[in-house]
Amino acid sequence: MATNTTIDELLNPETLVDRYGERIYRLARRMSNSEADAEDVMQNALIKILRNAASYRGESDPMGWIYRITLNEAREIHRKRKRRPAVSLDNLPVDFDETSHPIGVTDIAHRPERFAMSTEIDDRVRMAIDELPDGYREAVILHDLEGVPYQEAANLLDLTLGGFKTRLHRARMHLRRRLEEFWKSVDESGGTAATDGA
Amino acid sequence: MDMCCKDLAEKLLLFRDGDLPEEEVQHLREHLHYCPPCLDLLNGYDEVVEVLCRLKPVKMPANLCESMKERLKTECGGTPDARQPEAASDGNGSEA
Ligand SMILES: [Zn+2]
Repeated sequence: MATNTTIDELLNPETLVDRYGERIYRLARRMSNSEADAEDVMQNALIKILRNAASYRGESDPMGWIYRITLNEAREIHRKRKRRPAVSLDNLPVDFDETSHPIGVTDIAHRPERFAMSTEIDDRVRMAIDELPDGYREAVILHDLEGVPYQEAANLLDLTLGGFKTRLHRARMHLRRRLEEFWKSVDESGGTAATDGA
Repeated sequence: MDMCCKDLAEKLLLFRDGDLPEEEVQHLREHLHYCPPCLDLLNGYDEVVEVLCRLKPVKMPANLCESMKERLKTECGGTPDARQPEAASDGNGSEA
Protein backbone atom coordinates (compact mmCIF):
# COMPACT_ATOMS: atom_id res chain seq x y z
CA MET A 1 0.00 0.00 0.00
CA ALA A 2 1.27 3.46 -0.87
CA THR A 3 2.59 5.49 2.04
CA ASN A 4 1.98 9.18 2.58
CA THR A 5 5.62 9.79 1.74
CA THR A 6 5.18 8.15 -1.66
CA ILE A 7 2.09 10.19 -2.37
CA ASP A 8 3.77 13.41 -1.24
CA GLU A 9 6.63 12.67 -3.61
CA LEU A 10 4.23 12.13 -6.48
CA LEU A 11 2.37 15.33 -5.72
CA ASN A 12 5.42 17.54 -5.81
CA PRO A 13 6.78 18.36 -9.31
CA GLU A 14 10.32 18.63 -7.92
CA THR A 15 10.46 15.21 -6.27
CA LEU A 16 8.31 13.60 -8.94
CA VAL A 17 10.73 14.58 -11.70
CA ASP A 18 13.89 14.02 -9.62
CA ARG A 19 12.86 10.57 -8.53
CA TYR A 20 10.95 9.16 -11.49
CA GLY A 21 11.74 11.50 -14.41
CA GLU A 22 14.65 9.55 -15.81
CA ARG A 23 12.75 6.27 -16.01
CA ILE A 24 9.67 7.95 -17.44
CA TYR A 25 11.80 9.63 -20.06
CA ARG A 26 13.63 6.43 -20.99
CA LEU A 27 10.42 4.53 -21.56
CA ALA A 28 8.90 7.48 -23.42
CA ARG A 29 11.94 7.73 -25.68
CA ARG A 30 12.01 4.00 -26.42
CA MET A 31 8.34 4.15 -27.32
CA SER A 32 8.65 7.25 -29.51
CA ASN A 33 10.17 7.90 -32.89
CA SER A 34 11.42 11.35 -32.03
CA GLU A 35 12.82 13.37 -29.21
CA ALA A 36 9.89 15.78 -29.46
CA ASP A 37 7.34 12.97 -29.13
CA ALA A 38 9.21 11.56 -26.14
CA GLU A 39 9.04 14.93 -24.40
CA ASP A 40 5.33 15.18 -25.11
CA VAL A 41 4.78 11.69 -23.74
CA MET A 42 6.80 12.51 -20.65
CA GLN A 43 4.99 15.77 -20.03
CA ASN A 44 1.54 14.25 -20.51
CA ALA A 45 2.41 11.35 -18.23
CA LEU A 46 3.77 13.63 -15.51
CA ILE A 47 0.67 15.80 -15.61
CA LYS A 48 -1.56 12.76 -15.33
CA ILE A 49 0.49 11.45 -12.41
CA LEU A 50 0.34 14.78 -10.60
CA ARG A 51 -3.39 15.04 -11.07
CA ASN A 52 -4.11 11.52 -9.90
CA ALA A 53 -1.48 11.06 -7.22
CA ALA A 54 -3.72 12.26 -4.38
CA SER A 55 -6.00 9.30 -4.93
CA TYR A 56 -3.24 6.76 -5.60
CA ARG A 57 -3.81 3.68 -3.45
CA GLY A 58 -1.63 1.18 -5.22
CA GLU A 59 1.68 -0.46 -4.36
CA SER A 60 4.23 1.26 -2.14
CA ASP A 61 6.48 1.37 -5.18
CA PRO A 62 4.41 3.34 -7.69
CA MET A 63 6.65 2.51 -10.66
CA GLY A 64 4.17 0.02 -12.11
CA TRP A 65 1.44 2.66 -12.04
CA ILE A 66 3.82 5.25 -13.50
CA TYR A 67 4.90 2.91 -16.28
CA ARG A 68 1.29 2.14 -17.11
CA ILE A 69 0.42 5.83 -17.42
CA THR A 70 3.54 6.46 -19.51
CA LEU A 71 2.72 3.51 -21.78
CA ASN A 72 -0.81 4.78 -22.31
CA GLU A 73 0.40 8.27 -23.17
CA ALA A 74 3.00 6.83 -25.55
CA ARG A 75 0.37 4.66 -27.26
CA GLU A 76 -1.85 7.70 -27.65
CA ILE A 77 0.83 9.69 -29.45
CA HIS A 78 1.98 6.64 -31.37
CA ARG A 79 -1.54 6.18 -32.75
CA LYS A 80 -1.56 9.74 -34.06
CA ARG A 81 1.70 9.36 -35.92
CA LYS A 82 2.03 7.88 -39.33
CA ARG A 83 4.09 4.80 -38.98
CA ARG A 84 5.32 2.11 -41.28
CA PRO A 85 2.92 -0.82 -41.02
CA ALA A 86 4.01 -3.42 -38.50
CA VAL A 87 5.02 -6.84 -39.77
CA SER A 88 2.06 -9.13 -39.92
CA LEU A 89 1.56 -11.43 -36.95
CA ASP A 90 1.57 -14.29 -39.44
CA ASN A 91 5.10 -13.41 -40.37
CA LEU A 92 6.38 -13.49 -36.83
CA PRO A 93 8.14 -16.67 -35.85
CA VAL A 94 5.78 -19.18 -34.32
CA ASP A 95 5.46 -19.62 -30.59
CA PHE A 96 6.59 -22.65 -28.62
CA ASP A 97 4.78 -25.20 -30.69
CA GLU A 98 5.29 -28.43 -32.55
CA THR A 99 8.90 -29.25 -33.12
CA SER A 100 9.49 -25.91 -34.63
CA HIS A 101 12.79 -24.35 -33.93
CA PRO A 102 11.79 -21.32 -35.87
CA ILE A 103 14.97 -20.38 -37.60
CA GLY A 104 17.44 -22.95 -38.72
CA VAL A 105 20.44 -20.74 -38.91
CA THR A 106 23.46 -22.12 -37.13
CA ASP A 107 26.32 -21.33 -39.41
CA ILE A 108 26.46 -17.65 -38.67
CA ALA A 109 25.30 -17.71 -35.10
CA HIS A 110 26.44 -15.33 -32.46
CA ARG A 111 28.00 -12.43 -34.24
CA PRO A 112 27.93 -9.52 -31.82
CA GLU A 113 31.42 -10.15 -30.51
CA ARG A 114 32.77 -9.83 -34.04
CA PHE A 115 31.66 -6.25 -34.19
CA ALA A 116 31.94 -3.27 -32.02
CA MET A 117 28.37 -2.05 -31.87
CA SER A 118 28.06 0.13 -34.89
CA THR A 119 25.65 2.92 -35.57
CA GLU A 120 24.36 0.85 -38.44
CA ILE A 121 23.53 -2.16 -36.27
CA ASP A 122 21.97 0.16 -33.74
CA ASP A 123 19.71 1.62 -36.41
CA ARG A 124 18.83 -1.78 -37.83
CA VAL A 125 17.84 -3.14 -34.44
CA ARG A 126 15.74 -0.08 -33.70
CA MET A 127 14.00 -0.44 -37.05
CA ALA A 128 13.37 -4.12 -36.39
CA ILE A 129 11.87 -3.31 -32.99
CA ASP A 130 9.79 -0.56 -34.51
CA GLU A 131 8.25 -2.83 -37.11
CA LEU A 132 6.99 -5.28 -34.48
CA PRO A 133 3.25 -5.25 -33.74
CA ASP A 134 2.63 -2.95 -30.77
CA GLY A 135 2.26 -5.56 -28.03
CA TYR A 136 5.43 -7.31 -29.14
CA ARG A 137 7.35 -4.09 -29.38
CA GLU A 138 6.26 -3.17 -25.90
CA ALA A 139 7.34 -6.55 -24.54
CA VAL A 140 10.87 -6.06 -25.86
CA ILE A 141 11.06 -2.46 -24.69
CA LEU A 142 9.79 -3.20 -21.20
CA HIS A 143 11.74 -6.37 -20.48
CA ASP A 144 14.79 -6.39 -22.69
CA LEU A 145 15.53 -2.69 -22.81
CA GLU A 146 14.13 -1.34 -19.56
CA GLY A 147 14.70 -4.44 -17.45
CA VAL A 148 11.16 -4.70 -16.11
CA PRO A 149 10.85 -8.25 -14.66
CA TYR A 150 8.65 -10.77 -16.48
CA GLN A 151 5.71 -10.71 -14.11
CA GLU A 152 5.57 -6.92 -13.86
CA ALA A 153 5.89 -6.53 -17.60
CA ALA A 154 3.14 -9.13 -18.07
CA ASN A 155 0.90 -7.16 -15.71
CA LEU A 156 1.56 -3.94 -17.58
CA LEU A 157 0.53 -5.56 -20.84
CA ASP A 158 -2.43 -7.34 -19.23
CA LEU A 159 -1.00 -10.73 -20.12
CA THR A 160 -0.47 -13.93 -18.21
CA LEU A 161 3.15 -14.77 -17.50
CA GLY A 162 3.04 -17.51 -20.12
CA GLY A 163 1.44 -15.20 -22.63
CA PHE A 164 4.10 -12.62 -22.03
CA LYS A 165 6.92 -15.12 -22.47
CA THR A 166 5.46 -16.38 -25.71
CA ARG A 167 5.21 -12.84 -26.98
CA LEU A 168 8.76 -12.00 -25.98
CA HIS A 169 10.00 -15.20 -27.56
CA ARG A 170 8.35 -14.41 -30.88
CA ALA A 171 9.56 -10.82 -30.80
CA ARG A 172 13.14 -11.92 -30.11
CA MET A 173 12.98 -14.46 -32.90
CA HIS A 174 11.84 -11.75 -35.27
CA LEU A 175 14.74 -9.58 -34.19
CA ARG A 176 17.06 -12.50 -34.69
CA ARG A 177 15.78 -13.01 -38.20
CA ARG A 178 16.48 -9.37 -39.00
CA LEU A 179 19.92 -9.60 -37.44
CA GLU A 180 20.76 -12.64 -39.54
CA GLU A 181 19.71 -10.74 -42.63
CA PHE A 182 21.96 -7.94 -41.57
CA TRP A 183 24.98 -10.18 -40.87
CA LYS A 184 24.47 -11.84 -44.24
CA SER A 185 24.41 -8.51 -46.04
CA VAL A 186 27.58 -7.54 -44.18
CA ASP A 187 29.26 -10.79 -45.23
CA GLU A 188 28.21 -10.32 -48.82
CA SER A 189 29.52 -6.80 -48.92
CA GLY A 190 32.97 -7.76 -47.71
CA GLY A 191 32.58 -8.49 -44.06
CA THR A 192 32.85 -5.32 -42.04
CA ALA A 193 30.13 -3.32 -40.41
CA ALA A 194 30.93 0.33 -40.04
CA THR A 195 31.95 0.83 -36.45
CA ASP A 196 31.99 4.09 -34.69
CA GLY A 197 34.78 3.47 -32.26
CA ALA A 198 34.39 2.42 -28.63
CA MET B 1 15.41 -37.68 -19.10
CA ASP B 2 13.18 -36.80 -21.96
CA MET B 3 12.42 -33.12 -21.96
CA CYS B 4 10.51 -32.12 -25.01
CA CYS B 5 11.84 -29.22 -26.97
CA LYS B 6 8.62 -27.27 -26.61
CA ASP B 7 8.96 -27.15 -22.82
CA LEU B 8 12.58 -26.34 -23.21
CA ALA B 9 12.01 -23.37 -25.43
CA GLU B 10 10.21 -21.67 -22.58
CA LYS B 11 12.95 -22.60 -20.13
CA LEU B 12 15.53 -21.10 -22.42
CA LEU B 13 14.12 -17.69 -21.58
CA LEU B 14 14.73 -18.31 -17.89
CA PHE B 15 18.08 -19.98 -18.52
CA ARG B 16 19.29 -17.05 -20.57
CA ASP B 17 18.29 -14.69 -17.81
CA GLY B 18 19.87 -16.83 -15.08
CA ASP B 19 16.48 -17.52 -13.49
CA LEU B 20 16.31 -21.27 -14.05
CA PRO B 21 16.62 -23.46 -10.91
CA GLU B 22 19.96 -25.25 -10.66
CA GLU B 23 18.56 -28.79 -11.06
CA GLU B 24 16.81 -27.80 -14.28
CA VAL B 25 19.92 -26.12 -15.59
CA GLN B 26 21.66 -29.49 -15.51
CA HIS B 27 18.86 -31.17 -17.49
CA LEU B 28 18.87 -28.39 -19.99
CA ARG B 29 22.62 -28.51 -20.50
CA GLU B 30 22.39 -32.24 -21.20
CA HIS B 31 19.59 -31.70 -23.67
CA LEU B 32 21.48 -28.96 -25.45
CA HIS B 33 24.33 -31.39 -25.88
CA TYR B 34 22.40 -33.62 -28.24
CA CYS B 35 19.80 -31.23 -29.66
CA PRO B 36 21.30 -28.80 -32.18
CA PRO B 37 17.98 -27.04 -32.85
CA CYS B 38 17.61 -26.13 -29.16
CA LEU B 39 21.21 -25.00 -29.11
CA ASP B 40 20.49 -22.88 -32.14
CA LEU B 41 17.50 -21.38 -30.36
CA LEU B 42 19.65 -20.56 -27.35
CA ASN B 43 22.28 -18.97 -29.57
CA GLY B 44 19.50 -16.89 -31.06
CA TYR B 45 18.49 -15.64 -27.64
CA ASP B 46 22.08 -14.91 -26.73
CA GLU B 47 22.60 -12.99 -29.88
CA VAL B 48 19.45 -10.92 -29.63
CA VAL B 49 19.76 -10.18 -25.93
CA GLU B 50 23.40 -9.24 -26.32
CA VAL B 51 22.70 -6.91 -29.19
CA LEU B 52 19.82 -5.33 -27.28
CA CYS B 53 22.15 -4.78 -24.30
CA ARG B 54 24.56 -3.00 -26.58
CA LEU B 55 22.04 -0.56 -27.97
CA LYS B 56 23.03 2.96 -27.16
CA PRO B 57 21.53 3.89 -23.81
CA VAL B 58 18.79 6.48 -23.71
CA LYS B 59 19.90 9.56 -21.81
CA MET B 60 17.60 12.31 -20.73
CA PRO B 61 18.70 15.66 -22.21
CA ALA B 62 20.51 17.66 -19.54
CA ASN B 63 18.09 20.56 -19.32
CA LEU B 64 14.90 18.52 -19.59
CA CYS B 65 14.59 17.84 -15.87
CA GLU B 66 14.37 21.49 -14.94
CA SER B 67 12.26 22.49 -17.91
CA MET B 68 9.83 19.67 -17.13
CA LYS B 69 9.46 20.91 -13.56
CA GLU B 70 8.72 24.41 -14.82
CA ARG B 71 6.18 23.11 -17.32
CA LEU B 72 4.47 21.09 -14.59
CA LYS B 73 4.27 24.05 -12.27
CA THR B 74 2.76 26.15 -15.04
CA GLU B 75 0.41 23.41 -16.20
CA CYS B 76 -0.77 22.18 -12.83
CA GLY B 77 -0.47 25.39 -10.82
CA GLY B 78 -0.45 25.78 -7.03
CA THR B 79 -1.41 22.88 -4.83
CA PRO B 80 -2.09 19.79 -6.86
CA ASP B 81 -3.66 18.12 -3.80
CA ALA B 82 -6.63 20.40 -4.12
CA ARG B 83 -7.35 19.26 -7.64
CA GLN B 84 -10.05 16.84 -8.49
CA PRO B 85 -8.47 13.60 -9.64
CA GLU B 86 -9.24 12.74 -13.23
CA ALA B 87 -11.30 9.69 -13.92
CA ALA B 88 -8.98 6.88 -12.90
CA SER B 89 -8.43 4.91 -16.05
CA ASP B 90 -4.86 3.95 -15.47
CA GLY B 91 -5.13 1.09 -13.09
CA ASN B 92 -4.72 3.37 -10.09
CA GLY B 93 -6.51 0.89 -7.93
CA SER B 94 -8.26 3.73 -6.15
CA GLU B 95 -11.76 2.95 -7.34
CA ALA B 96 -12.79 1.35 -4.04
ZN1 LIG C 1 15.61 -29.81 -28.21
